[in-house]
Amino acid sequence: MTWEKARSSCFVVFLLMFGLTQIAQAGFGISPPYVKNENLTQGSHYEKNITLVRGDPIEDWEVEIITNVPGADDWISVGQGKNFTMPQGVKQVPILIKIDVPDNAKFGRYIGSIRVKTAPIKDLEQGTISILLGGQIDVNLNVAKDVFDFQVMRTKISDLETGHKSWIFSFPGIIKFSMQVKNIGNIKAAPSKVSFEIYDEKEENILEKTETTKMENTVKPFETDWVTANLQTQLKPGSYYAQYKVFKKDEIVSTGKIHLSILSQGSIIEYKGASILDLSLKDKLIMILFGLLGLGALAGMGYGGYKGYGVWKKRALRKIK
Amino acid sequence: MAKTIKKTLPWFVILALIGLIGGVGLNFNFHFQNSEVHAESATTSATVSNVVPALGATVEDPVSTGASPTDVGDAVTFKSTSNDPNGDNWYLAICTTNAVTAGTLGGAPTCNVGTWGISTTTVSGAEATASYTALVGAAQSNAWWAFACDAASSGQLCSASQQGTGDSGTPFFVNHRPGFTGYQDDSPKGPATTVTWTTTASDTDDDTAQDTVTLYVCPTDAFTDGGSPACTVTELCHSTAVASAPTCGYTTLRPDGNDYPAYGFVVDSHGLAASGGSQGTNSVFEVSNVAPSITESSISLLNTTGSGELALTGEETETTGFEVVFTVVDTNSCVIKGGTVNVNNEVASAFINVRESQIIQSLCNETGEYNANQCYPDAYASWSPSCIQDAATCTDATDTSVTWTCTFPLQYHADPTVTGTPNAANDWIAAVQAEDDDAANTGLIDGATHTNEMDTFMAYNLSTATIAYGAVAPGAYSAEKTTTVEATGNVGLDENISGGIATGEGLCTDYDTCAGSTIDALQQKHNLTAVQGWDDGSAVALSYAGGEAELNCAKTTTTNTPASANNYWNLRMPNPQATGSYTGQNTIEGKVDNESY
Repeated sequence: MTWEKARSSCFVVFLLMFGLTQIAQAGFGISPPYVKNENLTQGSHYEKNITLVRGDPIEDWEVEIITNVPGADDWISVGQGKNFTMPQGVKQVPILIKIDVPDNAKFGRYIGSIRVKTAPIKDLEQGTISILLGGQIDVNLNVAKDVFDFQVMRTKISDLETGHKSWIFSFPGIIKFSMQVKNIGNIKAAPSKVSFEIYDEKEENILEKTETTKMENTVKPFETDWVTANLQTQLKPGSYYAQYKVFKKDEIVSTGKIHLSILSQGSIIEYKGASILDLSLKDKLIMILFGLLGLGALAGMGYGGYKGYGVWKKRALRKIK
Repeated sequence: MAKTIKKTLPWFVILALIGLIGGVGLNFNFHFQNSEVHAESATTSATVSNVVPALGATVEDPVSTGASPTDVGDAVTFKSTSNDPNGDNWYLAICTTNAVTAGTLGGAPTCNVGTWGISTTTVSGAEATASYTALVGAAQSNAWWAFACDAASSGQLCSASQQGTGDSGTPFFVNHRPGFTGYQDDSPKGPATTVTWTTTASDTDDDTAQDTVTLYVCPTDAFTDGGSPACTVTELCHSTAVASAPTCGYTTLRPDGNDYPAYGFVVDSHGLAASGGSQGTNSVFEVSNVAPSITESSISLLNTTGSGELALTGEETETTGFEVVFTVVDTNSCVIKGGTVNVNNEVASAFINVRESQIIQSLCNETGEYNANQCYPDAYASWSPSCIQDAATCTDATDTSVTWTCTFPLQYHADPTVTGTPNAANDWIAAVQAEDDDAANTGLIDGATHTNEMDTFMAYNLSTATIAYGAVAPGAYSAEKTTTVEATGNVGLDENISGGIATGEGLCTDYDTCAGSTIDALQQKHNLTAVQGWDDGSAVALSYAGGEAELNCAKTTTTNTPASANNYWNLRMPNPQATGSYTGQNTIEGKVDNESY
């Protein structure tokens, strides 16, 4: 019997001597476990918030992010870096996956995964096989040409004050219609037009139609943000309903009914109503005319003053002579 | 001076005239009494006879005309001046006919038929007044005759009658109060609608022109009649002047309640108010309570962050903080009658049911219909959404809309509906109901426009954190060990399994340096089926690079019983292998099982 044989036959390997003890359960999760975007384009920047979840965070964990997206690995970065810590006591750790598509990226689809591996920072218990937890984030990216697309996720409207007359100018009421827009295209987006049909409180008669193509802001690609359309109304204080339509170019992408509370002037604290820019074309022209007249009067006064000074100066010089 | 002399009689002329008159007078008397003169005693006597007083112009003051008659209860005053040649006091008598009888012993005269008024005795030359207070029973038009009767101690005389001239002359006119016997409103009426008051009222006066009647409705019992009739404090409405049954309308206030006072007053076309009957009575109009309403497109189902898909983040537990926001419209106002804005809210409560859209509304509103995968009815006591009216959303009593926010939790295994999941055709929807302070409600309203998707949540729980092979002799096989994976998110699970810290370094006696004795990860195999042993064809050798195992752990459907699946582990101890205590790590990476939701 050789030494080796003797060793193999007479001795056992003590493996996991202490590993028989049941320890606490461990849970791990990823929400949501994917990064998908159908409308990336060359030069796009896209961010996806993902939450890493633990069931019982009794210790610090080290996290390693490993990307495996053929052709697009270099585009992917993590806000926190690819190695970071999930601290003890914290059940949810958000991470930000960033996609930066190069300007020369080829159009097409890029599929792969991001692996999230965790390990306790402290040494593993000696003599055991510890089971470490991790998860997979599926990646599915499509790089295409410019795409203008968005969804209206939500709408809301603030109480407004009725319009008013100031001197000879009629300032309309301003309906601030807010739309939560999710830009799912790869260029800046906002609704092309918003139209309102406003009904009486009993929804029996159309009292006014108003629309606008001017939006206060746009939404960056792949982001969700509020866009406000300001619509003018001449309605008196009261309770109304409006049927709204939101347009993406010529397509109606959202429609619904919304309630309008128009209150009397001065009812709403720190309310900002219509400005000069909201005046009708006629009122604007009148205002410009007054402005020009005012300027003319000032110019005339200035000219008269100048001439008067000349005369006075001549007389003064004569006296001196 | 010359003119003065011309216009003034010289004093001697006056003396001459007096003398002349006296002489003539004496001569006349002598001649008249000639037959009675006793020759022996020639006494002188003279009797000045009473003379009828002269009545000046008699007028009504103020003038009583058909257009401006004297109201019932008011006095018609007659004025005139009389000079009595005898210097006697005099009486002004206003009679209903042209017949009067002078008084005796200086007393007042008497109208033969009817009297409007007789003055007190008045000094000759002074103005006498007689008045008549218009009675309810008086005719609309009343002729009068005026007489001046002296107050001589004997032989009193009255002048001929006189009726004045023009508007201030006969007749005088009496305006009677309108009749007002019925007063009611057509409430209850909805807020901001018109409540109308109707009446039974008219005026019988038609002399010169038919009198009209006008209704005034006042919120307080205070009314001023006369030339400019009006509610003394504020007015709810007034009618136009009509021959009878005036009505008027008022746009009701918004806050509901049945105690809005409305006092009715009727006046005629001369501003004379009705009396008695319904005059000043309170109809108490009621603004009815109207059930609140919710526009379905105002309902939004929101993630905990306020935007994006619904994202679960509680591993094997609830995720809290999802929201449903919506607008409630109550035409009774957002504040109760007399209440404080944003404190005493008209909309008193609200609740939500949240469900996956393939469940119809009526099948997700009872406690027994609760199903954490797809249906969360408010009726289920263990699900606890919380709804409140948003702060400062009510501006004032004219504001009829407020926004509400309900916050609610969802269990970890709520069905995902995003693209790529089995229920991608569905989405999640909230049904909302709000109730006002009078327990009138909106009914359950589905927020079908702004629904939301439930995102996937890959999570799992491992029942054991170690694999304990125990003592294994070189060349021998360990007993099979089991690890259990539980699906603690809302998807089914597969897994990637790997082992060691580098190729060839699965287990080490000096982990994790691994400079000493090592055992390759390949010496472990995992199998999805139990008791198959090391050599089973489905057993997969562990590697550092790792590989996918089709765990096919189903999605959990019962909260307290997570779905689970096992991995079965075997170790074959190399031979030879140095004795020692070996430490290692295997990694299980959960991944979404696209086949086993």
